[in-house]
Amino acid sequence: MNLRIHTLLIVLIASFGLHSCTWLDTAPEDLVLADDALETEEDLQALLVSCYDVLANIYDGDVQLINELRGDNTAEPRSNGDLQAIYARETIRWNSYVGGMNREFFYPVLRVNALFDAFNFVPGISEETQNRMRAEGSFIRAFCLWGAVKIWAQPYGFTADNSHPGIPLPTAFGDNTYPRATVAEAYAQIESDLAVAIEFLPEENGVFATKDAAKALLAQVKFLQLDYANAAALASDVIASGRYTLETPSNSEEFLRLRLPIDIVSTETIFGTVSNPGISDNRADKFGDWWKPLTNPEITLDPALYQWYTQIATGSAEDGRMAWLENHPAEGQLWLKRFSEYDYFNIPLIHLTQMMLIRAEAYGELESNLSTAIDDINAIRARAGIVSDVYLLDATATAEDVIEAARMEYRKETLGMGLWVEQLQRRGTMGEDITIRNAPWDCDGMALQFSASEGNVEGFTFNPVGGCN
Amino acid sequence: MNATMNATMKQLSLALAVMCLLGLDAMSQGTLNGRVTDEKGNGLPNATVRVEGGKGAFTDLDGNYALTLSPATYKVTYSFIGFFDKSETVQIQNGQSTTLNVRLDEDAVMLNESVVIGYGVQRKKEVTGAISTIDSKEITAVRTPSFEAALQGQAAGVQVTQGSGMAGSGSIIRVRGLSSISAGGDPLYVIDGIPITQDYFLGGNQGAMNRNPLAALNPNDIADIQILKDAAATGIYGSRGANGVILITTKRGTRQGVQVSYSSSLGYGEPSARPSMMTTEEYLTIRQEAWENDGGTGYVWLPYLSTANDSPEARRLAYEEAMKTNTDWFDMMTRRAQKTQQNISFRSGGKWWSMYNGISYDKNESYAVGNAYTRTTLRTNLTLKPLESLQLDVQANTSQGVNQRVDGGWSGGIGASMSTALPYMAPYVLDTLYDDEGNIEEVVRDYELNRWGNPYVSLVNQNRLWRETETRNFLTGQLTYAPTTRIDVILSGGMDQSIVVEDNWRGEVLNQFDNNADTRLSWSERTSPNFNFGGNITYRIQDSDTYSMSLMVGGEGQKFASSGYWASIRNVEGPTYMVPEVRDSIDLYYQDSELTRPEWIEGINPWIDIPTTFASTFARFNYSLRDKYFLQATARVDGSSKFGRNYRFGFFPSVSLGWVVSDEEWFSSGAISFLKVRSSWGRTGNSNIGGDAQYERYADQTAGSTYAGDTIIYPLSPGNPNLRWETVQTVDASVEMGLFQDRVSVELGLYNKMASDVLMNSELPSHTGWGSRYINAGEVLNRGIELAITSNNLSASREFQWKTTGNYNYNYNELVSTGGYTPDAISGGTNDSRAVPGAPLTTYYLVPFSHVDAETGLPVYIDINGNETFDYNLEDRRAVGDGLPDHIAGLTNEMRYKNWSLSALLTASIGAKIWDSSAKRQLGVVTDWNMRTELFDRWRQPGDEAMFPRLTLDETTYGLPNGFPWWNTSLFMYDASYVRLRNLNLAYNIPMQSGDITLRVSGNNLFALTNFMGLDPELVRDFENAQDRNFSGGANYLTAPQERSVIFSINANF
Repeated sequence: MNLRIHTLLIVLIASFGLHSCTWLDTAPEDLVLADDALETEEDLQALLVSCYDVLANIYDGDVQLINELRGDNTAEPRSNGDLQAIYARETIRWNSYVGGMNREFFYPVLRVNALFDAFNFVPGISEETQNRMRAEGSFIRAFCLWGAVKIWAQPYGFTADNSHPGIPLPTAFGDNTYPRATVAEAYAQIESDLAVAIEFLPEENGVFATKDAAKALLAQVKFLQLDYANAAALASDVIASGRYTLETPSNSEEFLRLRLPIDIVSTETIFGTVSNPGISDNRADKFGDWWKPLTNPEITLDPALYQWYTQIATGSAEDGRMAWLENHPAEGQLWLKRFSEYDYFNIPLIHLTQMMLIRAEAYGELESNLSTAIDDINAIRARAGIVSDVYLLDATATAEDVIEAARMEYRKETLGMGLWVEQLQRRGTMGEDITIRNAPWDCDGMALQFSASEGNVEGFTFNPVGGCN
Repeated sequence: MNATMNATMKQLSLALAVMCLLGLDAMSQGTLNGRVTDEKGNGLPNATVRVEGGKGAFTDLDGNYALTLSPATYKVTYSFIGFFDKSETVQIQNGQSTTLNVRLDEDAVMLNESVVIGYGVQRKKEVTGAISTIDSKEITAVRTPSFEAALQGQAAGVQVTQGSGMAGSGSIIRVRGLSSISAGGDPLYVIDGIPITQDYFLGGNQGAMNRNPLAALNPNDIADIQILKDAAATGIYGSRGANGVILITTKRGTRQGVQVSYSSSLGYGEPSARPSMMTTEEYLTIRQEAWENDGGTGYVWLPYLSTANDSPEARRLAYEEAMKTNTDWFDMMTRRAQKTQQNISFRSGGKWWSMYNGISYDKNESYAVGNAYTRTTLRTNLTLKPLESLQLDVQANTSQGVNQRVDGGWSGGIGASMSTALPYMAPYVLDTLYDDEGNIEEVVRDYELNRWGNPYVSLVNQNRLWRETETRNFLTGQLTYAPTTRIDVILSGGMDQSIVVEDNWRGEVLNQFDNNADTRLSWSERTSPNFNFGGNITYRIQDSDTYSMSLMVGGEGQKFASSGYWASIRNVEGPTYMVPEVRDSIDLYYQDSELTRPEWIEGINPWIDIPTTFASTFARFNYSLRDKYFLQATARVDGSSKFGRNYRFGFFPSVSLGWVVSDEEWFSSGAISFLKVRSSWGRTGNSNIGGDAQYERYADQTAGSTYAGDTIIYPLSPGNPNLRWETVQTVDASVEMGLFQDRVSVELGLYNKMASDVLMNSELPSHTGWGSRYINAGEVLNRGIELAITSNNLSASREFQWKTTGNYNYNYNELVSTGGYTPDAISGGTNDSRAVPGAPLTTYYLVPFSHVDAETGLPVYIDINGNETFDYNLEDRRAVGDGLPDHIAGLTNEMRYKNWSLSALLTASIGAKIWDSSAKRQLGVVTDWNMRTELFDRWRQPGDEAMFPRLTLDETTYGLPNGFPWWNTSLFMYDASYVRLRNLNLAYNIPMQSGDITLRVSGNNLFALTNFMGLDPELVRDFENAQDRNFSGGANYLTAPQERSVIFSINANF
């Protein structure tokens, strides 16, 4: 009997042996687990670069298109239901295009938070390196949060104290969920991140973020906050650095490529993304997908824009930027050709022309330094090939003239880049009577709906749907 | 000399005397012989023939027996497991042969039947758990694409939803409801003691079909199937028993001679229903009406032929062109399918060995043109018993399943015939080619692929060659050592290996618009080995009169892995099974990544799933008191690599009691011949998720991803180190009864299953930056009643016999909690089922539809406050129905008259709803899909009472958001209740001198009584993952209907 009991015990012990050995540790060696992923400075740098990688992916024409469709530059998308809903400013939670972009905006935020968290356990990172990485991460996080809050919330100034709902602000690594912060809180976070970026970013950093980029981004932020003095000052700093010069295209082909070169980064680009045709790495493919007129482009410009575009210069001889347009009056279509002639190009996300025009308009609003503003505007127009004095501002131009001209050039120069609608909203917050395709600038649907996933946890406040038609 | 002679004489005299005595004895004996048969006249081998007083014999293979007896009158008792004993009195005459044939009656209760349980067998009387047994006849009686579909209607509490009519399609089986949310909800399949590979998603979802891991098994090799349902039965499988366990035992050899069984069948199949798609004239009428309702004038624009922006004249010409063609696309894509099966098996053996050999070939075409599943299997089961105390069982099986694939559902094929294939489009048009001199050079088919995705082109001229080949190898063995009657020691091990090779080749015609390749081949190979090993030891103590008890302890380990690689190939002339050099090249360049690949190999990529391992220790204690009180306790500790170290191990106990009341002396009932009550409690688990859920993972830095020339690395998934087992606590109370001398058996059970820590793959909010994460958060309740009845209605002694078996199950299912997550956090793939606390799993979450407004023709919805509204608002969605049936039932009637037999199996499912997701476009907004004729019942003018609203091409007419044509309303949710004649079987048995021949004709899915306004109320669509499979069982998206088949067969046994 004892022997049998012993036998049973042996079987039990033997089977328990399976539990204690490494039999249950099966993660293959090539599986990269968190503990192993971030161990060295190189690992952290790779994590940081992955944030730029996402930026390049979402600013490959998608974010730009979303913002164009919210504005008044384009006609209704031809067939894509998700895009049509954005155009109608009637997005719902299940708009997969908008929802997808909503999620992708937060990928870099997560990664930046992971980077900052890793500083706590990755040894051997010098303070200098850590400061630089922290600055780049802060810049990227600010860039994304600002990009997101402009799309998924009503603009800064919509309420007097900006207490209206903004976006969630995940600023710590993990999978915690956050409620929507107010727009004021969002802008405070963005400014805080940019302050770090400005302090620690280097002046030269290859294709990655620089001190100028952070200043230029903050200039734009301040501009939308109607803080024109700081906007102009920051823009002036960047312009005065001398590191950026206006391109000087001389023919139609060069105008098509204005700020969109492939082999080099544009001399105007303060911060941008890059493609690499050598390895079929195209970070501009969505521009082609949406605007390319293979048969019928999905996205075309509002035909009325053609008349507006030609009001001060009616031909390519007078304005080289006419090369961007292809008018089809019989079909009632106006095509934007800038993105369709080439498969690959580098994309400027912040550039010198923007800074010059922001500064010009800010000076106009401040009614100061008008001569600088006029020079900025005329430089842009001259670069476009406009030589007639009729179309250049003269030295006696008023602040209103400057503002009007700056806005006109801003809209022209940034056509297709999704930067116009925020200017309309800014002007709305200033009290101007702004309508965007017959709807008030602050109608509900201008703030796109969040991804349905945001509602997976109780308590999230969604935007109201529609209200712009 | 004299002394020697005397001694010799004495010996001789003694010998003579003995001889005389023997001779006298022989001369004074008689012979008793005869045949023992079942009620069908089949001989019962190894039946016991016992003569009162001690002498006895066993019957041979054909049920024959012979005994030599002294002249006298004897009481002879005949017995066989599963049948009532029968005693006859016979008088043996001196020197005469007496023949006594006996037909035994089947015992509906079968107390002494051996029942396979986990890691052992038990007498049925002793079983304290809920176990259903299905024998091989019931499995092979119904012709199904895969054996598990044959379980439908055979066992109480087991819901079997047949797959579609596509070849090789799998079924969904739910045992006592559904408890899982994101982890696999299917029962555990165990073949000859070894849990097998049963992942439906190893091949993903291609062509709108998931690969069926059970399709390669040969039903003819199966001896019987036991379905373990409650915790007492499944507890010994611990962490994997929560959804039930299906134990499959394959056939074994015989120890007497050789038995040969041969069967051959031939039949045909066709769709059980045909869709009511519109003709060209009907579709254009509907489309024109929608156009005009929307304010359009002139002729409506037609997809593929004109656009809304075309001139009125262009639209008119397109309309007139369309009217010239009327294609019945469903007819084009379907056929009368041929089915053939050949099966031969040999059972042989001797004193110390036995062997079963089975070979089968089964070609099962489906009604979808080009689709067939061909299965070839070879099985050898060998038992060696060199010593009384030692037995070795080895089971070896290899099979090859070749699935000639075609698209279906959303992917095209039959799905296209119900959607994008418009009736005015022709399968092809003829183009005449001329030479330079204007002479006709050639007339070629133009499939107009420049206009539309013509589904016909893939089916002809070998334009598309798509084949999936699975080679499945099982090798299992058990070594049993029983040194005494009290001890069994069993060592077991096994391997289940699946190798799936897929070739998907598109020829030049299909690939004509590809600028980079003339042809394209997508190729892959995935190998999934599954190793098991274990052992257990059982110790028994028995006091013959009072008690017996046994203790079994054991351990088990399992490892499952899956890996492979896939390649993108261009410009090759065919798939690898036609051009084997291509395969050689793929292998070469995969093995040596340093080699420079030729341009025609675009890419070769590996995939490696994280291996998963289990380690288990288990024990079972059984105690029997006076053979009427039974106690069983099981305990199992499971460790799984799927969980982090903190929660790696789970403890799963169960305890159960049984009491045979009818064995009590005080029990006396005229009608109740047997009464047993039993009850159990236990905890089981489920861990059927992928191996990587626990890990916080990063993208592989060495994978080569870069930005601006720099390497990138980034977090992929958040992981959950605290992930743990999903557990189910089950309470079961049952009564088993034998009525009218056990001619009727009744088994009534009540159960309550409460699942907690249910694994949920919850989608995280966008702003976290993560996708989804597994957590333990859900709670699911299943509560129900089971009833199983077997009745031998008419006595076996009559020429006409009639037996009825029936089963019924009511199941209440409720998702009690999702741990604070909202319904949208857990959904069924692309379907509209959601996790709604308080509602069943598989709940459809839709905007309730009220009616069509008679004045305006617009749809009227019910808002969240219960008020009627014209506004379609997705915030008004709520639980409106679910895909789980409340009641399921099966009823089999078998009738025999002489050598004829007739059986019919009716199955029923009541209370489930179908969400017809494809009806959104077949019966909703007029789009570029063909539509169904039910839409004729639409509103046309004020005052109309109609099922469907006014027609429109514009989704906003129905209140849908701009750009969102997905009309998620209950208008397209239907009652899926049905009663189906699952199988009708007519057979004629011809007894032979040694053996018999049976001729049979059977019809499957002959008809269904249902109110479902669609193809077939029983459907299984394709799924994206296990969660989708759990949630969307009742969702339809262009799913092919069931198959109706008629099979003629011949079975011969020698």
